Order: sequence, then C-alpha cells, then structure tokens
Amino acid sequence: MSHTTTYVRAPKVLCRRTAAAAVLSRPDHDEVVTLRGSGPMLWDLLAEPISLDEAVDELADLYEVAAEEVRAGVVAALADLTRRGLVEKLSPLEERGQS
Amino acid sequence: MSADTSPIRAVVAYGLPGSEAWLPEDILGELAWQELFADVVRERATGLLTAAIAGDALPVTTRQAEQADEAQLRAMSVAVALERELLAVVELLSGGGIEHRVVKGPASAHLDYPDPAMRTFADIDVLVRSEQWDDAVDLLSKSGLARAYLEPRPGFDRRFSKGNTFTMRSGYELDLHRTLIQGPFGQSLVLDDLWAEPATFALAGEWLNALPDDERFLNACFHAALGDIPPRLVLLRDVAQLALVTGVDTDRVIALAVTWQAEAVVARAVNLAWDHLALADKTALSAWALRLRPERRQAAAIQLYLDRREISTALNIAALGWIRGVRDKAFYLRALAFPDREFVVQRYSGRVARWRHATQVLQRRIVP
Repeated sequence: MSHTTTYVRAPKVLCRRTAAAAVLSRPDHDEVVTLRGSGPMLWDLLAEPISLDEAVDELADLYEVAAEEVRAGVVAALADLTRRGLVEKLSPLEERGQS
Repeated sequence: MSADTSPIRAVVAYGLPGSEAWLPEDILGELAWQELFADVVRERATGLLTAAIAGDALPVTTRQAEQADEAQLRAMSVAVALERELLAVVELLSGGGIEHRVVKGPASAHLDYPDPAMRTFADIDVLVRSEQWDDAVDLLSKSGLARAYLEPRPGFDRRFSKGNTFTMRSGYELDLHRTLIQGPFGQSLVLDDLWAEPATFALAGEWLNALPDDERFLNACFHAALGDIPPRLVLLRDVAQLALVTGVDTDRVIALAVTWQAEAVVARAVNLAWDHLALADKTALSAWALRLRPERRQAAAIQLYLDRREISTALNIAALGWIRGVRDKAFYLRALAFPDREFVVQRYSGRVARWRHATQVLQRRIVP
C-alpha cells in the first residue's frame, strides 16, 4: 500500500502534444502553457497518478542520468504545474478513492 | 488520376488507406524542403507533416524536423486557445437554451482523425437553428462578442443568411452558422436534416455536440468542392477521411444529397479528393461520383462558387432562384434591393455605389 503523495493531470485540461513539446490550457484560464525539454515526457507520465520519486526515476532512465540530476527540475515542474491548476496533488487516501 | 506528384499531396494524404501519393524516400535538399514547408504552412497541414515525420514516412534532417515541430507547436497553441473559447461559447449557448452543433475544424479533429493534432484549424464554427438565430445573436452580442456584419433588414439573417462572424475578446473569430454554406446550396439544403441525433466528442471533460457522420461528410463536401481555387488539399483530406476512415452510409449520403439538390457538389468533392490525393481504392461512393452527370442547374450554380469575381454578390443574387416559397422570395428580394441604411453604409460608400456594383455583377453574369 502506497503512503506517498502522487500527482496526476487535472481533469479539465486542454492539451496537444507535438514531438518536442506539449501545449496546455485550462478552460477557465486565458493562459496557454508550453512544455519543452523533459516537460512533455513528464506530462506523459502524469496521465496516471505518479509519485515524485517514480517520476524522477522514469525520467532519469529516459535520459540515462543519475536520479539526483533530474530531481530538482521535476520538483520545480510539478510545483509549477500544480500552481497553474494543470496538475493535481493527491494524498494517499485520495488516490485510493477514500477521501 | 492527376499526374501531379508534388510532395504536398503525399503529405496531406499521409495515413489515408489506398493513397498512391508517395512521400520522398530520401531527405529533401534545402530548396525542395523549403518549398514543401511553404506549401504545408499555406495548406495548414503541419499536423499531417509532423505525423508523417513521426511515423518515419518522411526522412528529414534534425533541423527540418525542428522547423516542422515549431510550426506545429504554433498551430497547436492556436488550437488549444480556440478550444478554450469554444467551451465558453458552448456553455453560453447551452445556458441560454440555444441548441447548437460544433461544425468544421474542432469537430473534424476530434471525431475523424486518430490524433486531433493532425487536423489544425484557425477559427471555431457553431451551427444554431434558424428559429433560435436571433436569440443566439442577442446572447452572444450581450456577452461582448462583436458581430461583423449587419443584416440587410431585420429577420433576413434568420431566414436566409449562411450566418455571421463574431470576434471574441481574445481576437479569435466565431463563425455562427444558420446553414452550411452561402448561396444556392445553402438555401436548397433541408435544415431540419442537420438536427438529427448528434455525434459527440469530449473536450476537457465536457461532451460537445457535432453533426452526425453523414451530415458532417456532406458539410466537408460543400467546403471542399465550393471553396478555394485550387481546392484546399486539407479539405479534400476531410472528405476522404470521412469516406474511408470514419465511414459513411453511402446510400443515405446520396439520398440526402438528392434531397438537398446537391448531388453535383458531393460528386465534385469526392472526385477531387480521389484525384488530388491519389486514392486508388474504388468504393461505391467514388464509383457513383465518377458516373454522375451533373444536372444543368446544379452545374451552373457550382460555377458561380468557382467564379472568384464578386462571388458574394453573385451568390446572393443566384440564391433567389433556390429559395422556396413566394413569400420568402419576395422578402429576400425586397431586403437585398432595399436594405436598411446601416447595412449599406457598412459595406458601400452609398446606395448608388451598391446598385452600380450589383449591376456590374449582373452584366458579367449575362455577358461573362
């Protein structure tokens, strides 16, 4: 049983993916956010609830680098996407549908 | 079948079953690449180009791939912003009790293509019922959307107009439709046929209504066959995509086209799509389109759409012959002959200039 906070895409997000970017917007916001670099890959991972550690490990594998090299970037990206309402932070109870 | 082997056709046909338009097997030199790229941008086919590259069907250099991706990114930024606006418009209309259908770009992208990113669009189009036209216009105007055109007389748009264009606060445009196309074929189609059980697609967790598959195909045919000269390849792609991938009921489509007095339009669209996109597979629909000999009245009407000189005025004049009912014809004629002053001032320098313009158009029709 997981006791870890997870992150997942917010339900009402408009999205388009290109080879090297992802374009996101919320219906109730004027802002259009463009993710580049590793951002689109992180967005792909957020299709299902994923913990910070899992996301770090996945991206580190993808880029063939040590986990600690990507951790700070992932933390910042998740914080930013959460602040913009594009990603939701789920407590363990919420993930299990017990909130 | 057309012998044109330009790569833009192969790009637009990418993924279509049965297309014999072949993409280049070798990386294009810089000049050839820039020519193709310019064609892709003009055609608004960046989604199909990037799909072909991602599918390893079109070999490119890293720089070429980046250029394609950047262009697609710009198109997708527009698409996402437009979809946000579309959701707001749909919410507004629904809240006002206005029945509606999303048509063209966003509906095609989500309903007919395996990835919505393959189908780009630059505005949003929504169809409403004639009976609710005035209420819809009033609702949109009071919500801050700016209507582009005044109607010649009160009640004209509700009875005869294709629609009107609204500019949203964002600067993007909403085309509000009452019928599918301007001119004769917009008058002859049976509007009630457009309000059958809708197809639906999801956008940010909301379900939106669109035209059902057969009616969506007919709408695609109108715009492919009666639009730009030469025809826009991506609109021909819509026709082929619906016919070959989404699938349509051929017998029903032909029956609707007959009822709408538009068989020649549908046949033209199908023939153009099969020819320009090098489609080899013969289907019941393509065989019917090849066999059809256009009825003279429809052929003459099609020519009006293809004559790029003063198209709007000529279509408005020609539409008179396609309007049903003496009373409606009389109102239409009176409204066009003697429109409100505000309508004239918006479009012409005065009534004399408007009559001179109309006379010139009529003379060209008599002595082309």
